[in-house]
Amino acid sequence: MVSPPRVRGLISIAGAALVVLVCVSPVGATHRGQGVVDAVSVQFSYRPAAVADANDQLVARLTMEDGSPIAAVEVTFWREVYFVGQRRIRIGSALTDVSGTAGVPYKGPAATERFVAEFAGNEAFLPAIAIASFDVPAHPGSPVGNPAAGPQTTATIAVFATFMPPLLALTAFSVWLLIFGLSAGTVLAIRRGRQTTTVAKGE
Amino acid sequence: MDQALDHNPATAQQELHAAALRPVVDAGRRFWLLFLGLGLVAGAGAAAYALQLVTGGLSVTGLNDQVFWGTYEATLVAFIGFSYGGALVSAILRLTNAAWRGPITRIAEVSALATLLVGALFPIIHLGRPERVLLLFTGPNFQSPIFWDMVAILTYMLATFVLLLLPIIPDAAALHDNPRLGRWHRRLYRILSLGWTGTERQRRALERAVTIVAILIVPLAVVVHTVLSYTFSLTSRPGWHSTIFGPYFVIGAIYSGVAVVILAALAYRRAYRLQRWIEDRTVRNLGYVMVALGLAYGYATFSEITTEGFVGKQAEVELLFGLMLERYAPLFWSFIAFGLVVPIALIAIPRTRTPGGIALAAVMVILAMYLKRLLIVVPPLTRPVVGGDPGTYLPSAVEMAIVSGAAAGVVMIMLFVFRFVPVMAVDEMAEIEREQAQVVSRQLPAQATRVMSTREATDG
Amino acid sequence: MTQRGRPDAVGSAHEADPEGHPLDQHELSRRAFVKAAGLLGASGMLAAGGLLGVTSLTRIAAADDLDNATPEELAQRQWVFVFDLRRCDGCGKCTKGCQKMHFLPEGQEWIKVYTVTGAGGQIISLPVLCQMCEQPPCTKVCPVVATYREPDGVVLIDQERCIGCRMCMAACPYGVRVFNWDRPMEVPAAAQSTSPLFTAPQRQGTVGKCDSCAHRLREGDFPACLTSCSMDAIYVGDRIADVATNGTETVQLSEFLRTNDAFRLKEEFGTQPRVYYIAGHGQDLDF
Repeated sequence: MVSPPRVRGLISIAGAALVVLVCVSPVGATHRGQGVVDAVSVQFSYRPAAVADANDQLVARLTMEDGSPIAAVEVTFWREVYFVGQRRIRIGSALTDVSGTAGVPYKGPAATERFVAEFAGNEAFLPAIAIASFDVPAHPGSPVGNPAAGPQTTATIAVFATFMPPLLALTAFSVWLLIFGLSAGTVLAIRRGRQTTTVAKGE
Repeated sequence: MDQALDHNPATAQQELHAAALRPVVDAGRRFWLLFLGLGLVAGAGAAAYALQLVTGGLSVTGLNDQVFWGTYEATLVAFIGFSYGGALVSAILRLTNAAWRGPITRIAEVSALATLLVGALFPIIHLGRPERVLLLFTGPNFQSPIFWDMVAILTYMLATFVLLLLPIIPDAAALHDNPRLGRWHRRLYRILSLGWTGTERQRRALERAVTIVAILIVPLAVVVHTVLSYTFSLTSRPGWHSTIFGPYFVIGAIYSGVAVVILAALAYRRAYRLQRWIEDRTVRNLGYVMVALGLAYGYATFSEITTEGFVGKQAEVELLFGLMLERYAPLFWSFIAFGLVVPIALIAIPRTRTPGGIALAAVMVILAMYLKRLLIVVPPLTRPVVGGDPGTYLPSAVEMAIVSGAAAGVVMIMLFVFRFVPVMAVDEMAEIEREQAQVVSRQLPAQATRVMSTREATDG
Repeated sequence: MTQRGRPDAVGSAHEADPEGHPLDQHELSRRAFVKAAGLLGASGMLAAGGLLGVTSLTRIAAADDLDNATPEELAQRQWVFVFDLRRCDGCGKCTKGCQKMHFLPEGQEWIKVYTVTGAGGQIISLPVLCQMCEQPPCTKVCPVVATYREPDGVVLIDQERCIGCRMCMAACPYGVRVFNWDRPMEVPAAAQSTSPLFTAPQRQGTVGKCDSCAHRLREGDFPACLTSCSMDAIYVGDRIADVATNGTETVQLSEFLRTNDAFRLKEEFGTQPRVYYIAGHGQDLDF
């Protein structure tokens, strides 16, 4: 028979929707000299910013198997990216508070990203890690993830660039037409206007 | 023309025609010696370009990654600038009805065409891949100053051609049965005259066309050199990125262009004894025009230097120091002396305001303005953009050969054209005389009545 | 990477701890629980990982197969370079690595390492390569559209089209363009290419410049300068994914630039370059 705290623990694990849980522990109790080293379970979640301009939060809650929080231990948060190979970006680390919760601020591009919450372990607890995929929401106005950052001052230049060239081309073309037309017209007028009788030169 | 009034109009006209045809008819040993000598120089230039095309590419020049523009680009600007004298004399003087323009319009137009044709070769000569130049037509970037360059130069060239060819029609008609001409020339002139008989309708058509093209060619010329200046000023380089470059280039072009017309007119005047038509007065007037433009160019230069020097931005100050005090100082002050001070003085001082003095001034202006174009192109490039050592540049033998060949080519074109085309626009000169006579005759009755009434008074 | 439990102790015949003490019922249940949870977790992990793996595999495939990518696909990456001048020692290995990869003519440098004296008298090594401007002055002035900007931010030269007028060299405020004055050196046939992404040999009479190793970036690989740098001073990044790496460390690009007071060269020219510099020791670099 399993005791109620363990049943609760199993149900909460199984019921997590967006949370992928990995229990890391050497299976079976091991004596490590100083006593029992407990397994740790990690609840990993993402809290979008409540207010504009505020940062999102990556939150991890560390509990023992019986659900009791693990306080004052360091949790390190990473972002996993594939960029010329699989890579990890260290977001930051924080100590868990009395409820076993540790969180770091995060502001990143709007995307579905993989995050890692890692507890390195100490004498009392086994190391634990949680890897999860979260949808990072867009933060309007944030330069992060924006292909073009910085003041864009060239809108007027673009207008100049778009309407000037056709205008110039049109002008050049009309000038060519005009000159050719004039020359052809003059030649025609001269040919047509000639008389058969010779006129005194230099009049 | 006071002298013309002394003669029988018919004789005067005969003499004018004869004189206008002298270069066509009298081609003696002197001519051929000069032509062949120039041919050798031009040939050497062509051979040098063949060397560049076939073997070394642009590595035969003295250019490098830092100073990547040099003699070719300066020559391009200079020669196209030289063609502006023709635009000014032929078009502007025509539009302002300056009576003294008559004997020199043809020389001006031909010199403009010659310098323009040769100058327009240099945008191709300076390319690393000249065989791809057709891409400028098939797939251009409409935003590029070089594309605008090409369009402007071609349009200007068309207008220059037309401005030269149209007035030849009545000249050919007037001269086509001149006894001095050989059979082939006479045939050519008959064809060129297109059946011109001097009727009202023909004359009106021609007048209108020439006037309109003359009106067109003035803004065209301004556009051409402004767009040429944009090749430099539409970059962010210190020393190039200056708002004055458009007008600066145009003024410089007309300045040097008038010098070329002066030189060509004086050369033909001397060689073919045309003093009776290309008078001292005409040459002096051209000299005055040149002085006016020289003063304008000096003003623009001064304005550039003051604006940059007073504020003292690091880049501009370095360039000014290099130009005026250090590296390029000898060249710069030579330009100031021989390009501005001495020519203006030569023409301003009555003692030296002789055809000889004016010719000397013109030669100085031509050479000094060429030097100035080099000073515009090269020194800003020697200044490093981010860091490193200043760049260096010396024209190579190939570059110098090509430029000399180009200069020789200009003269050869002129010599060649005037073997076929009369050196003075006889019909235009006749027209001007007619107009002048009308003006005089309108004034005459008033004077005559006044004289008569005085006589009556004394008789009576 | 991830730490996992060691399942080897499960199911041992003696069911004793390593010190030989027999396990009581409590311990056995706990073992069973842990085993079950471990298996459940592992399978869930595998399932989720598989799902993620599929999506990331698709992304990997997209990232690696950008040769035939559409402009929209290309625009999913906006390449950025970051030079950490705190680490740059001016050794010039980046220059040499680039020269080697691109079979450059003798003396031609696509990434130039300048030695600049700062306002405080300090000596700074400043590597300058094509700044991948968002508003490139060079593409504006090319008369035949031989140089152009790709949707992912790299500026390339098509040397089959360039007429060698060198107007782009005049327009570039950073002086990163060079000209192929001479005949190129021999390039092994296997490496020859006329693609603007990687042109070898360089065509005589045309303009050349750093191509941001676009061919490498699109294959999911590093530029030559980055791999040659022994100081890990060169980062390549993606603005969309907000990531940058020098091969060893990976950082969040926006944070990295912000915290380290990154700057760009000649900001006042309005070119909006995509190459950032992190000043060494926070000194003022004004030149």
